[in-house]
Amino acid sequence: MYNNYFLCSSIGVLMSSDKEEDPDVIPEDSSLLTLQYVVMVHSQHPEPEWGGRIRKKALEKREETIIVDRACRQETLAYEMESHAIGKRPDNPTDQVEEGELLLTLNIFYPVIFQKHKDHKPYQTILVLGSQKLTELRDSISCVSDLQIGGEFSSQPDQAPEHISKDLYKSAFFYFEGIFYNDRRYPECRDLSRTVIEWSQSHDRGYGNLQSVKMEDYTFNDLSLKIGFPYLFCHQGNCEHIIIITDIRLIHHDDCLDKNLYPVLIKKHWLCTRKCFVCKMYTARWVTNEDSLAPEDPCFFCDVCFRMLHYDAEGNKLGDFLAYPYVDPGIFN
Amino acid sequence: MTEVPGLQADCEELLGAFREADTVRFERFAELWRERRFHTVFYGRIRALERNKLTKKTLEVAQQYFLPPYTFQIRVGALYLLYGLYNTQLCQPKQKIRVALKDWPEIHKFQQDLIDSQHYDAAYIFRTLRLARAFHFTAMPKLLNYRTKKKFQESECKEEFKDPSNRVNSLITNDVLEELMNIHDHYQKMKCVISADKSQPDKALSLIKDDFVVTLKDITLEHQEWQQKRMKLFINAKETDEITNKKEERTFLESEGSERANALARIKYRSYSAVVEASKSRRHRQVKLESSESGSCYGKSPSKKNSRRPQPARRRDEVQVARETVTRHIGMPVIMEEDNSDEEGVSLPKRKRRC
Repeated sequence: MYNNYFLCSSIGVLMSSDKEEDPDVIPEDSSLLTLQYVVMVHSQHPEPEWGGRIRKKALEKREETIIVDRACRQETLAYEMESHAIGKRPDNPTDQVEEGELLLTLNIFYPVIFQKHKDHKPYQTILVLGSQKLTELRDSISCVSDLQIGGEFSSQPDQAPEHISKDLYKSAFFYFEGIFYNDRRYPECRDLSRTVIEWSQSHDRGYGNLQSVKMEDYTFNDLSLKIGFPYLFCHQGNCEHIIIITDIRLIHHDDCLDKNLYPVLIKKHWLCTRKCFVCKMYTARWVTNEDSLAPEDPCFFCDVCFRMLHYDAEGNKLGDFLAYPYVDPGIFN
Repeated sequence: MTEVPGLQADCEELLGAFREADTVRFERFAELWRERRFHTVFYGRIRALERNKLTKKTLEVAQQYFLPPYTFQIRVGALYLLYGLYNTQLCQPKQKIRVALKDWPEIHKFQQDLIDSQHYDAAYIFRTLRLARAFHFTAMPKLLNYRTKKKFQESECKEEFKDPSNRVNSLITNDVLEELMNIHDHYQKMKCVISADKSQPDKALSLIKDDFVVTLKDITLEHQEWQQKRMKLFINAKETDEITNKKEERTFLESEGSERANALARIKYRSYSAVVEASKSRRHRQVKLESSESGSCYGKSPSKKNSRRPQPARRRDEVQVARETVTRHIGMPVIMEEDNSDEEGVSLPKRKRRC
């Protein structure tokens, strides 16, 4: 029924095969407006023969000002994150994602609210399968507040405990479409949403019936979600992240088909780490307040500089200060 | 994803050329593609990360022409364009074409149309894309991204590519007409039943026109013809636009002005001399003709109907006359009033009509 000649020549007819083409070089005689916006000032063509065109202008400008033409590490990282999981297949065939599985793309925003983030609030992007439980997503969200160590340790710097907040405060919940999904896997987990539900029920506040259920009993396929609508993830009692679902689609042959790799992080905001005030080299591990030995309040130190400045050779505390262990948000870079 | 400058213009130019060629054969499209060396749209020394974004954006721009309301030929052109872009992209692995759930039945119907009309090359191209797994089946057509736009960019569709919007036809379908007919008959029968004379309804009960369903159908057909004529004239007008220079346009406009004035005078004379007798439903409000010299006081004439009729009629008539001289302005056709007592002014969309 179909013309056979298509089989061999349909793609071929779309490309001119008369000469070898270099995709980096924009052909000089192109009539395409897009390229007129692109042209590259190649070393072999020092002067373009025609007037300004957009991509050309952009590249020209870049050529003039650029010093080293190479991907910076942020770009490399971003590209790597985006594509590291593509096409992966599991070793064990039972771990293979099934056909007809849904793939959700979620944006999880960072909790801090700064003025400088007015237009573009930083976020991470995670891909998650429809058949996965909500708890799997909860475990994969990495937030710096999970790693905080509470307590003042100026008198006993060596005894900063190993317990991070993640181990101490395990409760968390998701809020989707009027229902709070609480993490109740461990006995220490409490229902954080109870306060909110009680508040909403105390007077007629117009929020309808809010319910509380267990997170571990639900998968994403069980939820009805709106794309682009902000939902909430709350942990550590008061650390709140907005979650927005940007895309839902069917799983594709070229996607990562290894169930164990999901949820997979594909985009992350690059955060600059705060460096030690003294050496400006190492990432800060301590922060001090009301420090008579420090020029500013609060002041950040790496471990070595902190001890050298605040303690003598025997380990006695010098001067007056309050010291807290500090975990930098850039720790996940 | 920021806009790719110039891309939409390039795509529209290629699709426009394809439309001019007045064919849906792939060979013709491939020739046009080769002429423009369209595969170079991805060139330009771009690193992998940005290349992915650029390719995604390119496919998105091309994909919008694949769906209604564009005409059949443009949609086939868009299919070929997607095929070309998908295969000549430089990304590895290839970026996919997004198809939303709601659009899928449309596309399926489109493919069926292609097969039924024996456009086997287009159907084959579509099948190849399916087999190559070129589609992502998504819930929403556009991937969300959160950049606050400084200016709100309205996506403009080229008028000429679009199928003329068929809203009248989609409202007054055959089913609707049939239903109306049935209700009308039923109504007539009911009237007969309650009337003294069983064979026909009482005169007092005749509040509607008996043949309004047929009239409605005629009006719909006429609207459709008008729309088609308008499209042709619009395209012709666009072409003549490009070749006339400013001077000609100016004289054009001037002659238009005098034409309009003449037309105005003619219409005023016509509408004021002609008086239609009110239909039976309005016989308590007969029309009285008052002579008025200047046009400005026609709003004060006694009959409600008469005061409202001249205004829209004037606009339409003048425009229709102007149409003969200038192909730029195309007005709605004026449906002439019938000379029987049952008819009021027809097709004044803003006014509530009592049928």
